[in-house]
Amino acid sequence: MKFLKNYYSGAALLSVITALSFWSCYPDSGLTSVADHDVIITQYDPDTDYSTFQTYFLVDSIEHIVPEGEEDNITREFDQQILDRVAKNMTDLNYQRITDTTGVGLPDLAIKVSVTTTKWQGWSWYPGWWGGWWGGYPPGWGPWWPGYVVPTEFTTGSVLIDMLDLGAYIPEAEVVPVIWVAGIDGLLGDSRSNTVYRLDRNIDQSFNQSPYLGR
Amino acid sequence: MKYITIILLIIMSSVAVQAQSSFFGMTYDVSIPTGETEKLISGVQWRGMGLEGRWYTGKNTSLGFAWDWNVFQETVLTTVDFENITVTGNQVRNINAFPFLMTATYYFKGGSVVQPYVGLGGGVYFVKKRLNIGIYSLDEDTWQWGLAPEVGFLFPMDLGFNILLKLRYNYAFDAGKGDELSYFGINVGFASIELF
Repeated sequence: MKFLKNYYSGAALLSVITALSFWSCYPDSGLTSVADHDVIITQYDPDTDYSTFQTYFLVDSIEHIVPEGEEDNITREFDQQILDRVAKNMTDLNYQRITDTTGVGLPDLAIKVSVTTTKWQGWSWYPGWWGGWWGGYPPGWGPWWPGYVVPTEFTTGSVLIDMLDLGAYIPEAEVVPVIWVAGIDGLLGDSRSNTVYRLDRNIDQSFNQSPYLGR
Repeated sequence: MKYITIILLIIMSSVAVQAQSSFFGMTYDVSIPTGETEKLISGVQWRGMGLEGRWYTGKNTSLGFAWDWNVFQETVLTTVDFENITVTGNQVRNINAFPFLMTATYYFKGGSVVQPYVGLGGGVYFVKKRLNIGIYSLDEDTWQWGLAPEVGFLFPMDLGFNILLKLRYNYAFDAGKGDELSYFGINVGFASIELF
């Protein structure tokens, strides 16, 4: 009987230790909301002095980048909000917006906004669980749950803001240099109110993390 | 890996001849990052486990092996500059460290309540790093040589096993990428005598 007692005591302890030890050994990312996955990337031209520019022209429609042959299913619900937020940030940086170029000459900068979506498909593996207390098994012994693989699919949206230096136009190449780019990546599928909030917040962040901008 | 296999075989053959008794230990591991590791992931890490076996080679000594799984993770919202590129997002920094160690242990004279010991482990650490930024992931797996000195205490229980408490410093050497790994482990569990 002593052997039996020792066996079960040790087994019970083994079970507790096992359960503690495997307690989410492969933790999840800790990112719970769609907004947690937002990424804001900016790139600038180190040879440009952004304080020398005074005026800019904001292209008043947003380009939807859609692969050739595919239908444009991207909503235009947020287009105006995006344009307004970009304009607000440029104003906050003391750049003057030119809305009508007739008779006033070329502005210093042009800003063009585009959006695109990407569908991602893949497989995710969810790890299993070993041990644990399981009714019907001898104390301390549990089933081996091998984990499972599930298909995953999600769609991301990107807002791209390009700032072009119109004064540096290269006529022979017909190229206007892009001197600043912001890319805002995030998961789609959020509520409308959250999307509105995230767009404003992330556009603001793209300007905030670019301290070289402004007059 | 070839050298590790040879060392393992030598030790195991030695043990087979000299073994007087053995035990199997299992621990719940708490880790505290230090040094370069702490710069990446800070704070107490509550996820981990360890298994070990020891064979007594003398009255006060044993040889054995230890395997652990220590998980480190921290999520930070941060802005990072790469030359003229700036990236802002939630970074999920994750390390899964798997030490595979050969161990040598010396036991001090203890009473009926506690048996203190000191030990040294040496072997390889399989270090699996992942950095998630938004939906993007960067993975890096490395094998790194490492050492692990430890002090521990065995508390004999009346139920045929010992409570095991050990404090281990893990140090995995730089694998050439400035990626040394170091952390203190506070491991508590039990050791079942004569399981082998």
